Amino acid sequence: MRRRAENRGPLIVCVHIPRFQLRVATGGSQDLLGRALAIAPTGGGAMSVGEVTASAQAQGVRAGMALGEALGHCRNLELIPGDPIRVARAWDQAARALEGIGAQLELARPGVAYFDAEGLEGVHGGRDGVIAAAGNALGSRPRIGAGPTRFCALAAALQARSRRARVIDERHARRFLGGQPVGTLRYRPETEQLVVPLVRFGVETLGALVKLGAAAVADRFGEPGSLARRLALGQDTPLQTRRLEDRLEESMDLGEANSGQLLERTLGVLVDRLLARPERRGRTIRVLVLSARLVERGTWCEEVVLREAICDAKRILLALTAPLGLLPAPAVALGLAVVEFGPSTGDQTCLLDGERRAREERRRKAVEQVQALGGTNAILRVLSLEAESPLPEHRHLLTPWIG
Amino acid sequence: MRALVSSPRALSAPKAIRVQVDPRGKPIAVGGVRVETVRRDWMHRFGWWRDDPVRRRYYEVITVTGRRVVVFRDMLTDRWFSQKA
Repeated sequence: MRRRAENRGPLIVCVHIPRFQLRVATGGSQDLLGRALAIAPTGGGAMSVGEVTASAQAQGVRAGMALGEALGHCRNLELIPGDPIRVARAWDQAARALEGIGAQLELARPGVAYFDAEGLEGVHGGRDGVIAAAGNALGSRPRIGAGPTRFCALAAALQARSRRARVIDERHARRFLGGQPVGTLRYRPETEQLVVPLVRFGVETLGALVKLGAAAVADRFGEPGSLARRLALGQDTPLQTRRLEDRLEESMDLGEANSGQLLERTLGVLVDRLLARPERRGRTIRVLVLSARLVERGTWCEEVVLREAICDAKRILLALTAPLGLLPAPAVALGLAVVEFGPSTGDQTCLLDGERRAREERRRKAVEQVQALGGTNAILRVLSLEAESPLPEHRHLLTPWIG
Repeated sequence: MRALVSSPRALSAPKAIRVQVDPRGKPIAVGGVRVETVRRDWMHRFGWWRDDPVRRRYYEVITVTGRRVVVFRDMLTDRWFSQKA
């Protein structure tokens, strides 16, 4: 009876595989332990290092640090090329293993996933059973934390040991979060920029951040500051779980076909092959991932969101040509994968009343494209409630744009 | 499924802000920025017949940085807020 009372309230589970990208890039090699390693900056992006080993971290190097600063901290830092394709594949495999236990996942970044334990407790025999099932689904000893919110679960996972999950009860969440370092905010893209200034101001823990007061934090750090404070107080937004879709993939070795025109021809073959796959079942294509294995060690990939869901080979090829120009080095193999499909009907255009319908259609597609890129909450609708109200906050509401 | 969406929220919702006032109660600094001039002020009394009446003294100010800010003092709680009005 007492146990049942303890189990009330939501339970978000966070599965964290530390240094996931580094593990994949090094092939999980054990002789790397004790060596100062970091993932090298990518060709096109900012010159900052990726994930680092514990040894490099002990010498002051952190993920996201500028390369020059990282080398300043650690002279013997070894750089290894990142492998985004293998990381994406390994992470997708891990996610599917977790989905195999019935979890609906939100994938925050490679190595960090969340799911709601509600509904799974009956299947796996309570909360402990759900957590054990998640741990067993992944062979690589993940750190598992659980709590009433996503952020609390993450903080718990960062504290957890590899063989023992950390579960924070809803009643103790606020006190637990208050003792956590502000560095935990680094794991949220909206708040990661706050960590350095907060530490510089002497704010070391989330509890100290809460003590600053809502007005002072909002005043100095704006919306990210307010969000950070809300997270520290144990409030968070709902999970955004991923859609379960099959992924179609085609790849081809290039041999000598490294020049622009030959690359485009190879890409054309890949598009034709993808469109010919029976698993597509006549559906249109919305989002593709173009990838390449580079001549030097390492890989490259770029997500391409099409303006509208189509299955016309020529138009798809046209949309893929520009990203192909971003290749940071000559490639030895090219890959193309469909990660999101559109409806199978495609566009049904109308003969009469065309202009108004076309405008509405363009707007609908623009909304779909923005939502495909930034999530459902990326675009909102302003709803007029009491336009004449003397109180400005009673006049309009921001509501999600659905349909 | 990306079915979970945030719940509706008010546009122009008041945000708590730190305001320093002179002896007459007029703002002299808003969010740590000195006020150059108070352009106008007005009073809102609303919903006196309800359980949650509203009594606010609004000020439209221009800061030394040239920014126009609308702030109000909640007369019932004696707290300051900024608002896009």
